[in-house]
Amino acid sequence: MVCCLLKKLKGLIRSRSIHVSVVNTGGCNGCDIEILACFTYRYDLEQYGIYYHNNPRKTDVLIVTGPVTEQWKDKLPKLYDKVPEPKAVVAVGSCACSGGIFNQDGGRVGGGAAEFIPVDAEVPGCPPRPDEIVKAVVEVLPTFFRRWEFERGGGDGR
Amino acid sequence: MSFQDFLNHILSREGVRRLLDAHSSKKYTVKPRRFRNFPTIDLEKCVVCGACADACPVGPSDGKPPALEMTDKGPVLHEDRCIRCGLCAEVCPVSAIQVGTLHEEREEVVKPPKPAEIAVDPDLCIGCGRCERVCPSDAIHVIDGTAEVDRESCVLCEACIDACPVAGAIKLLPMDVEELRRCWTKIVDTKRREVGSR
Repeated sequence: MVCCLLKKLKGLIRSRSIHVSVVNTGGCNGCDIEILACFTYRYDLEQYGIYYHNNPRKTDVLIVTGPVTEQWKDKLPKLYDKVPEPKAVVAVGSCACSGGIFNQDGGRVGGGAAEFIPVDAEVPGCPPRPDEIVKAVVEVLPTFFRRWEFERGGGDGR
Repeated sequence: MSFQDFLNHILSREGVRRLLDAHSSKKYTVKPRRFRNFPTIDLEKCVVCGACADACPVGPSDGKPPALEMTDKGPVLHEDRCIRCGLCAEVCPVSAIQVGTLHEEREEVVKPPKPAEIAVDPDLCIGCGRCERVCPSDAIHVIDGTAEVDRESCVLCEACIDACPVAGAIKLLPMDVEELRRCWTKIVDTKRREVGSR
């Protein structure tokens, strides 16, 4: 009973203080600009308690933009391993979802981020609007962190 | 807001709800009026010609479908591949595919008033038709032995004046400055009212 309550409290607190970092694995920078726009006054992700870092050691949520290029194929799982648990990955843009327009016959990219690391949420669009990113980050991820203690974590391996 | 009001707000039902439910983004997920969304395909109208799938710039890759895949029943959109370029809607012959527009449809184009007009003196005109041949915008025509100018299509290039063999038969009459100013004020006022009502 106490343990359950503690888990719930942990989840509640985690879901209200999310630290985000963005990694561009070789995209065109359009999605990065839209993510930047999420932190401006109009959309303002910080009002939901979401903070922006560029340090994977400090983050809870890794936002991946762009198709995974040849140079990132081994670096992306390495970077994912550096993020402490609990962690979630959001693929923003059609490139990170599936490789997008770069992933055609004769293309030299390795497809979407989901082929290399587990992805929890995908936001399609080229680029997606800031409000679509806000919707994904704000509606999916707090639920994910609230449930994490019960579903994936909770003592094993920690 | 005084401290008392702040406490009352926190303790009210609305305040408690907002405190506990900070993650409601519904206010920010409304699409704007001008927005290019993912294409919506109306399969009722579709004639399965395949033009949209040919126009789609995102081709297939190993294991991944193209953004707009052609099947027997009609085109199927894969949202995670689509880049929202709108080419499929452009090439569709029956406009079964709809994407939003980024630009406002301009209904009427406001033409600025012309600062002058070409006038033909009917007494001097001999109806030779040289002006009709040199006119680049096809604005002057010889009708019943006299040249007549269409003011709408005239671009005031004065080619007809140069070509005319009779001195003074075709003249450039500048518009009255006061009248020009009145026309411009009217246009500016209507534009300002449009912008204000928006």
